[in-house]
Amino acid sequence: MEVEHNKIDRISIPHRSRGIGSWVGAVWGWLDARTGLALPLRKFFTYPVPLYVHKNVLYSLGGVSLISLALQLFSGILMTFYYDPGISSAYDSVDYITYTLPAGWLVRGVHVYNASALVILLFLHLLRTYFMGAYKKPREITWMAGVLMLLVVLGFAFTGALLPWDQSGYWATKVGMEIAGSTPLAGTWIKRILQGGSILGQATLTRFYVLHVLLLPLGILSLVILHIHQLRYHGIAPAITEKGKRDSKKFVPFFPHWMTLDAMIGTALLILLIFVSWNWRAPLEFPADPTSADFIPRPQWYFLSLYQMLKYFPGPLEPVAAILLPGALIGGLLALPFIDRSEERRPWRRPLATALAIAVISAIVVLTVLATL
Amino acid sequence: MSSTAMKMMGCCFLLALLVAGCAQNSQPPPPNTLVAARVQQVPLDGADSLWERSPELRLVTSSVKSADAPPGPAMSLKALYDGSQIAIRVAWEDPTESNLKNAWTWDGSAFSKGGEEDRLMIHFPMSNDAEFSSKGCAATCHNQEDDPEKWYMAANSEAFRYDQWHWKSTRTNPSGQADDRWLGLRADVLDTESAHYNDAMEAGGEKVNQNERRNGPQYVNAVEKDSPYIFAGQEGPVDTSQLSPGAVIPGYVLTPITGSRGDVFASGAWADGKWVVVLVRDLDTGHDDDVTFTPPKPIAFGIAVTDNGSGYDHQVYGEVLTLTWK
Repeated sequence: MEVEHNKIDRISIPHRSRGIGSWVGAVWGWLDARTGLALPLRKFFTYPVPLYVHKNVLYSLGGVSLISLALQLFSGILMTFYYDPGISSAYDSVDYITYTLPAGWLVRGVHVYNASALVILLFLHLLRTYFMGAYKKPREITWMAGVLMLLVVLGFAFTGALLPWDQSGYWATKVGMEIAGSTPLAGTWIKRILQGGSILGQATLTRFYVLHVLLLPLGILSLVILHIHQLRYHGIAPAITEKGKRDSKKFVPFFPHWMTLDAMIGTALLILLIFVSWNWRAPLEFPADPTSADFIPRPQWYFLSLYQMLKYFPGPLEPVAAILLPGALIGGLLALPFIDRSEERRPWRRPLATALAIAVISAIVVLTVLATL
Repeated sequence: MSSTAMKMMGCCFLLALLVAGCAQNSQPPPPNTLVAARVQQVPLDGADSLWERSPELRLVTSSVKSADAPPGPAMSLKALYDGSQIAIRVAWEDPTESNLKNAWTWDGSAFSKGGEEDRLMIHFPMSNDAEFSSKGCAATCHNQEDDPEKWYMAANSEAFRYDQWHWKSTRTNPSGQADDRWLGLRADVLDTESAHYNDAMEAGGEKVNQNERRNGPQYVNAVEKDSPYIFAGQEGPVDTSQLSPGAVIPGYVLTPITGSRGDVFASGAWADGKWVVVLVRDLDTGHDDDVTFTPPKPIAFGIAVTDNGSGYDHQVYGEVLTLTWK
């Protein structure tokens, strides 16, 4: 259904007069009379989505990322019922979830593999926004919230890796702590705060657990709310192609049109995650042995580029690869709307920005591939 | 099909490749991994063609007595499993078949007792054991501690126990079994053997074939006179007048073990300088003195063999081994 923008207000969600059942309408009417929720919800769901956006599946990356995040929260909450954050019991509890608890393998598999999917989706969403110049004025806050969300998701990955207290998580965290400790001036302090002491032990696991299940979820939910608010406040960035501009005057309501498309892709994602979890059980290494001398730590694949870069900056130069370059990249991304202030949004008219992004992506891909060889 | 739908499918496909790639790119398979292949029913016969389905793991053992000792025999391991059982096939070089442990030899006027046997030992931790999983047998028995007050040839904590499948060429192989035991803390700190405990047993096992004066056998095999073994029911009285000098009489009377101690079935055959032994056990015996296998959960294990010697004289594979499932 395609409608003109000025007609969109006539589309409404079911309420008392058009409810599915009279009891739903009655309950909703009672709730609306006391909360006034009907109007903002109606506005949210009938939000006019430009047709050029609805036609381009790349614009669904944000919505699918949100679905992916919801899957993470849901599967994470389910696992929290069984996870025990003690260094002598964490491994056994994850072992129980993975190999004994009915469907535990599925919940953990979805959680583990969806973590990768979420990183990919957010990264692709960020790239789409970058190349289409959608970070520019007045959408600076939307962009920065998105960049921070990607960082928070990487924080989830880092803290989550330790929770099973297995060999790979333990030693990857050990390496991560060493990197954090190499930060000039504040390294020792950062490491001690994260680690909760001089060694990687119970205090570290407790801190990572609190970060993973409480602080980071609160952080990302806040950022999601801010991101969506800004998106709705400023609207989706205007089309950059002639064809898109022609479709800019036509709209479809957010519900059911766009939500249906996102839900379909989200369902496909869930099916894919179930398939992957079924065929490749989420890995669980043997329990962490801090006295093990020959275990070779390997970070998750999304940290492999950083891991590879460390090899080129040995010894005292390590902070360059571990802190300086990633810090510059993150800082550059956050400051991007203030650095690139031109109004031109077409990537082919912004050769420097486009070439820079391609160079950074290529470097990340090449470093990741080299790390796997 | 609309272009939107096609793009959507393209994106899903790309995402599928990426996520599947990530799944494949998880940790590389650890070294020393024995992969158990799934079959309809595991075989007890080491020559069964089903063993071709299992990838072979090759190892070279080393002596526990001295680091300078020559390497022990090379081994080949394979594993299969079905819905209820696991089978592990171990082949190793052994130039002689030794199956006359404590056998009696008649010299024409008196008996003398002697002889050892070949053995195979496999240890599995019965719970999640970080140290054994990263160091294997070096975490328990072979920690290089010489002080008998310290743990050695035993578990290092009462929190951990190790299921031990002890196949013996003389005492268990003829009955088609391995001795199912477990390793724990030493009951007597000065006695290494006191760390070895027998699984619960209902009946059966080996009975020393020795007369009351302990200077000769109590029985001969009255049914199969030339057999190197005597099974319960085959016992006959010893009549030295019927023995020619050099006659050998088995040192044990064997009865198949029932109960948890008899959980591990075995078939061992020696030929052409090589033992081929197959051990078969239920994935879950329901006994609390046995390890439970829960595919696809990987499990660490250690392995050792003995050539014509006591349990202590074994050659061990020093690194941790991992049993996985496909």
